[in-house]
Amino acid sequence: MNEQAVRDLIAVDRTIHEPARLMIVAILSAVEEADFLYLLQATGLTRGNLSSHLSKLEGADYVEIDKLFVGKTPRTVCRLTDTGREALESYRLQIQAVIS
Amino acid sequence: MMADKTQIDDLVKRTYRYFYDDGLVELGIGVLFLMLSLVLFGWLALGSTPWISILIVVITVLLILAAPFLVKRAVRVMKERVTYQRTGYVAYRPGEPGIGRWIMIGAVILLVVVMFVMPEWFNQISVAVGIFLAIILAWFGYRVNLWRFYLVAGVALITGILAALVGMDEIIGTALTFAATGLLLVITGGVTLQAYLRRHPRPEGDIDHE
Repeated sequence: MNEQAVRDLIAVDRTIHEPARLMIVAILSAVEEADFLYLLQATGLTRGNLSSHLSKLEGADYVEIDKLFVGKTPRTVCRLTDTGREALESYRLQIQAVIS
Repeated sequence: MMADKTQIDDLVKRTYRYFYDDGLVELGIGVLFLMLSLVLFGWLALGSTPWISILIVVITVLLILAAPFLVKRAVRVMKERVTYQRTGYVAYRPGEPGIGRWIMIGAVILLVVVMFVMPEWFNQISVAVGIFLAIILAWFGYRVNLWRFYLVAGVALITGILAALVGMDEIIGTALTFAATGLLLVITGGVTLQAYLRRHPRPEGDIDHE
């Protein structure tokens, strides 16, 4: 195990490191965008929990959230920003360095 | 310390597979194949005068060219009405021209080679269509990890070969291959849709970000 990489873990991005937010970011990394309802059923989080995590990701500029209407139906659409993608990639490399 | 990597990988794979969870794509493609088979059966019924043959070829080509747009549009409309309200909306990133294109090219090359080395009875359009559909559907099944696409691939292959083996007319054999494949896709799509609707009743009220 790379000892320096293990020590560097202290600097891991804690915004992404949290399991629920990691799930959200992983899902959004695979798609162009997804709405709140999809994220709710895909992650299994509660509505309040998901809202809270999305707010944190939005605050870190990792996720963009748009509220729009499709016909008369409201839809909250989330997408990963370029900053979010880079952060996920850095996080992935950091964890891989520890594991390998 | 962190969410298990396997769980994250599964989550991403499920996200890719979500597009096929409601069976609507299969229904769309199945209907398209049935329409193609109807055009070919219509050719037989109307007789093979030069004008009718030209008309049928033109209709078939137009259908094949328009198919991706028609199926995409129809699936999108149905997903808005059925799926997105139940389990949510996802837009996928435009596919990169990667392995899918090479699979198609490989399938065509394989077909040409097979036609040269196999016996005379094998050189039938129904066999070519069966092999081509089987390769595409099997690759599809592998990509999204859904076994039912392998089943349909098998039916396409077997129907195409059987039609040639029993000495069926080429047009009838090809029409039957499209019909069998299309019918099975409609059935698997319908069963999948029914199961999806049972599992996911429409939620009450609006689910929205707070």
